[in-house]
Amino acid sequence: MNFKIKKVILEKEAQQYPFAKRVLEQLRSSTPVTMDEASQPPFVDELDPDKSTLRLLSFPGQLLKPCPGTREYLCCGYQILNIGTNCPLDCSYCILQAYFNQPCLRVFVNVEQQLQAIGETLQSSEGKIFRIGTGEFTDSLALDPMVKWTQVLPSFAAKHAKAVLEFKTKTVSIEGLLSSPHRDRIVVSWSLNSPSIAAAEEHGAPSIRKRLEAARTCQREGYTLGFHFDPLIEHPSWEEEYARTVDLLDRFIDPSKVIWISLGCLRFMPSLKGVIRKRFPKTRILDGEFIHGLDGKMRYIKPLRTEMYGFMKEKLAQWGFWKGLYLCMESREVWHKAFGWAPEDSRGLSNYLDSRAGETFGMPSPSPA
Amino acid sequence: MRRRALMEFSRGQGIHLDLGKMADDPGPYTMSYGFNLDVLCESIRKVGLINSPLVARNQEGTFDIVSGYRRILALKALGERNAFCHDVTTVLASPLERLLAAFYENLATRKFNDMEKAMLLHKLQGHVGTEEILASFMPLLSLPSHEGTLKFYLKLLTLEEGIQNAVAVEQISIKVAKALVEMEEGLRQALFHWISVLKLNLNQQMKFIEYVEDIRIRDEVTTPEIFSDEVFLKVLENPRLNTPQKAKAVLETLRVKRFPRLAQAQQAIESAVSTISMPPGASIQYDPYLEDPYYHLEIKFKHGKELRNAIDILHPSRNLEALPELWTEP
Repeated sequence: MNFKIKKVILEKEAQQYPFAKRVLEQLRSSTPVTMDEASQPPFVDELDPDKSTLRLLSFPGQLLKPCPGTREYLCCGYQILNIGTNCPLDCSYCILQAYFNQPCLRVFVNVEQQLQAIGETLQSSEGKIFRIGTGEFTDSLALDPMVKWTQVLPSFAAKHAKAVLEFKTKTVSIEGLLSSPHRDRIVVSWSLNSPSIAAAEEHGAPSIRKRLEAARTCQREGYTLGFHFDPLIEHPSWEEEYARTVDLLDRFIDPSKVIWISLGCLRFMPSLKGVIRKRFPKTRILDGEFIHGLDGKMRYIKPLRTEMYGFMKEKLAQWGFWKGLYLCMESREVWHKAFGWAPEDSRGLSNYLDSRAGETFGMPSPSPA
Repeated sequence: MRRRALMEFSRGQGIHLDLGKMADDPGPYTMSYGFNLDVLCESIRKVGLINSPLVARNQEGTFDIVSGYRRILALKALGERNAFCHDVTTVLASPLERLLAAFYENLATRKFNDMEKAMLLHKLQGHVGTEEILASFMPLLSLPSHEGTLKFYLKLLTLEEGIQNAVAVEQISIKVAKALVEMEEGLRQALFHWISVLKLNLNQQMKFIEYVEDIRIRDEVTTPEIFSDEVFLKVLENPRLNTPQKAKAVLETLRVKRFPRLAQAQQAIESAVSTISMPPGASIQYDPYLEDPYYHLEIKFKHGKELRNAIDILHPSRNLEALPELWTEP
């Protein structure tokens, strides 16, 4: 990976947290640190997200929240653990470009205190599996060499029998994971794409091959893996291109130890288009036929989505993976057309994945949909 | 601005200015753009010049207009040779004071158009720091205190004159101007030409630019290459179409080029729906993007008998069963 933190800003109310102190110890010798009295950073220039500044702050709200989803499409019932926002990678399609109005790589240093409260909530809830992930608003591992999330989060999962914790990444920063003693109910997932999309659009991210080499290491070290083909992007020879990635999966990964694979075609808030055009004038990701989806986001026309999902399903089945394949934010109609079946509703999809987690980790879980 | 100086405007020395020696441009202080002098000329013709312009002597020894640029142009247009003005060289000693006098005088009496805002921001840059412009002046111009906005307004001044005029009189929206300033000149001129010829309204302009840009980038062609398609020529030369109809036809042609599969599927659905004889007050609706898999049948009726009649008309229609699933590609 090719990024460097040039400056650390420590917000006033963040200074008391041990997490912040540990990060500063890690970085102080190499990076200038600024103490910031103001809790609000200046207005972000959408064209300059300032990915070289690390801002340490205490997040005042709830760190664990259900994925917002929308009622028009099936949502998997994921829980987002918001450990930070923005990401040092610079994928042209990244929704974070239009999602957050604050610059810098933001890391929430009160995560340990919040985890305590989250643990209590988990314990008091009845018979539910919590699939929790940290890779929605940032990459789960990109900043790990500096902030050491892997020293904090796996032990949380170990303590709470209802939690399945997923690290979602495009990076190869797995050293922290490898040195952690915990494996149970932890999923390490890689976001995958076609090799050409990875090279042209996922700026700063390692190649697909390197990601899969890291995944293989984790699998050999006893971790359960997941993969996310999201966003699937229509591009010249996309069938061959995505088949190449599945071929690489075949070469590096044992499919029987993969808990789930999600598929999701490129979708974005309409306001993102202008940002992408300005920040990445050479990108081809906007070439496809996008329509306004029922949730207001731009997405490919239905037959194209169906075609792409159907193709991926077939390829992954040829590789040996079929249990745990799901679509992210899709309609029942598209599920049916692409997969030949569909969960009844979002709860059905959630149960399906909970069952998969139960089966993988020996947790009590609902029957599959 | 010093209060004293404000109070002393009227006591500036009265002078008769030789209009022949006054340049036609707004000079360093005034900020009028895209105006029509007709009403002002008529007013002066009828009742004379009520308020005297303010002028200040410059380093070349001639006068710059501090306030009253349009009045002076109107007097010139009326063939006047001299104008009675107040020389405020002493009471407004610095260029910033003169600029602010011009600004606040206008601010109190009228709205600035976007080109005038751009002119003022540009002029302020010569005297005031960016932070002060953002904090103090942009809110007065009803603009967000955002550096990106400031940069955009300054870029407006680099646009070609025709586009600047269109911005000033709101013939093109500020959103469109934002898109245009980022383009290279040839492309910008080509798009502006089409927008002007077709007299696209503000909503149409943005769609037009988006379609053309998407097609241009996707197909790796130039804008003239896109419009070299004879479909566009036929639309433009069709004597049975008025300008708004031509605008719609061009936009539709671009839409079909941008979304070929969607457009084809929409057309297939539209023709299937159009074959059904609908009773009065009834219609079949569907999501234009064909994302929602369901059609919706709407029947308006005043009483049960009307509903029965509507159903009786619909019931025997064989074409109902020919309605395809939404998104069945032909």
